[in-house]
Amino acid sequence: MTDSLITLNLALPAAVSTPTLTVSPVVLFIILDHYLRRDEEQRQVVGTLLGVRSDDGRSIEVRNAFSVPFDGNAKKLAIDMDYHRSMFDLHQRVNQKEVVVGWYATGSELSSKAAEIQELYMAECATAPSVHLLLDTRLSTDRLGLKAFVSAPVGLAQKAERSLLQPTRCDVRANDSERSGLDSLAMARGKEDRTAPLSTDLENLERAIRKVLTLVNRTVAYVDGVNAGTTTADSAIGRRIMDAVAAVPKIDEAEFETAFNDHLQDQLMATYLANMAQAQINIAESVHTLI
Amino acid sequence: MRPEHLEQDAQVVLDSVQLDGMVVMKIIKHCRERHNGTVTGQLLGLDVDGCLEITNCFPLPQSNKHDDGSSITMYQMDMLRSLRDVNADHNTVGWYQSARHGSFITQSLIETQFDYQKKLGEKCVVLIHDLSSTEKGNFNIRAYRLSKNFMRVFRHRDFTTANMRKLGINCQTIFDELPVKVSNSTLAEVLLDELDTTERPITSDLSRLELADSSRIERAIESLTEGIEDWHHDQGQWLYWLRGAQRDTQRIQQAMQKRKAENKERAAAGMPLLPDEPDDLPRVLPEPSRLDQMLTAHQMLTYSKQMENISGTNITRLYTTKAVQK
Repeated sequence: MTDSLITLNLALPAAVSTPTLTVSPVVLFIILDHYLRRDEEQRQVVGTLLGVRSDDGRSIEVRNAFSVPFDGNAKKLAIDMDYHRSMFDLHQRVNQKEVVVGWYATGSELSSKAAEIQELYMAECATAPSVHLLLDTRLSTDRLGLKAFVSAPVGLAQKAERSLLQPTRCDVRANDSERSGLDSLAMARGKEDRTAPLSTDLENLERAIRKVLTLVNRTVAYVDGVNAGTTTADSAIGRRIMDAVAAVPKIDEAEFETAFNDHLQDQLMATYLANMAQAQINIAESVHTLI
Repeated sequence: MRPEHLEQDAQVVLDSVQLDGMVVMKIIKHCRERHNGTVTGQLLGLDVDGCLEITNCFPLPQSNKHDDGSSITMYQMDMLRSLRDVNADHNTVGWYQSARHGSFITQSLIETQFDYQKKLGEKCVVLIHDLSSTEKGNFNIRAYRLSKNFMRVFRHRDFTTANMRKLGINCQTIFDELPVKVSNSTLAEVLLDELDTTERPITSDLSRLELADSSRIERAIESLTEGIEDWHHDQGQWLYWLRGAQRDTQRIQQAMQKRKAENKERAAAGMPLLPDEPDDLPRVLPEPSRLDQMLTAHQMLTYSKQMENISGTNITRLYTTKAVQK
């Protein structure tokens, strides 16, 4: 099916290159939450995707989403576009940069209603290509299997309402802050009640160090294996290991010792200061109550 | 009055706050969008057996100066109605605010939280999300609630030393801090599993190992110094008031004693008595509010704890580096 779509597109007089697509993890969380909160008889949920298009239109970043009431069982298409518009207005008040870039749905493949909904959203997106995300929330293949589609004009006359959804690559990209959030969430993974307390900085650091330790141990085990002749050597891995070892800068031992001690003293001083401030505040509070 | 209070106590014992994964991600997104300046938003959820489950949230628009706040109220109403239409929890349980480098305690924060707690009762928290820490790989969010005694004093704006001593309020008892947990739905777990692939792990474990530059701790020390100066200033004002008040009280007592003696003489001489209190008594100035100073003290405590935290992890990192060097 994919093949036939692509051939169709190639037959176009002016082939439009598909923009690169990135999705922020928060969007996926919103879609899943929406699916969990659907009405009992509802089999599929849809909603609007908000995001930012680059000026040249070559990349689309999906940053936000909201759910839209939708009745997939009705004979007639029943998606509440008034709701979509009022919700979009509300979102605009917080972040004006984010515009409608498309829509999402749940399910394992494009539904029969997709064409109609796509038309509605094409109207919202004007001439720019719109995005469609599909998450298989029923896990029919044991995966959520995020699928992304971008609309491309089709037919000889380039009219907005004529388009097809073309499957495309889509990266889930998390920035530093989001990563740390995801990391905290990942701590709750595999727990029985699926909850986890937030860990402190120090605990996080400990985990990171342990991870490095296991990585180093694995590398050492590999190198030992190669030396003993039990594992076949891979020159690419060997070069990587060389790079990693070379990354440790060579510093004169005495020099390192001084630098280390200086830093250590700075840090200890900061701790000392902090403790002192705390003690002072506590004393001041106690004295006040005595007056 | 008393038993009623106790009864209320028994009903609402919130002992923890639980954040849904979506809320975590939404708050991070919103806070990141405005790097400078604080952002706020509203939290929605339910309390279940003393655990406040926050299942949804939405950002609030920046309030501009020409606005009297009515448009924001409209926005809140519209948003709540819209969310109800799609089966989201629409029960307000608090709000969140972004912060940088641990500084968040302001009068306005306390006032907003006070309003929330007055309207919605004790089951209402403010989440403080420290973006500067989250950027460094440690997701940092704290849940606070104003303590009962603080609420009582704040209602009457009665921050005198005597009153504060009576109710045992000091900078450490302004807030009750509640432990925060995160939770995922089953589907979110699947999502996390899929995002956490071996070639691009989602967890930022290793970036935490980077030797921290000194800017964070410098910032903390600077803020702490500022705090000390503010505190000192407030302290000076208070002492000034105290001296004045003592002097005035002394004068009043002297005048009263003088009048008493005078009246005694008059009574002996059979003359009509003068009123007990002379008319020209100096008045004792009311005590300045101790709230500011208390808030500064609380802020300083936060800074110093943060400093301890940063330097603690830095020391660990240093020793790790030493191990690598060897």
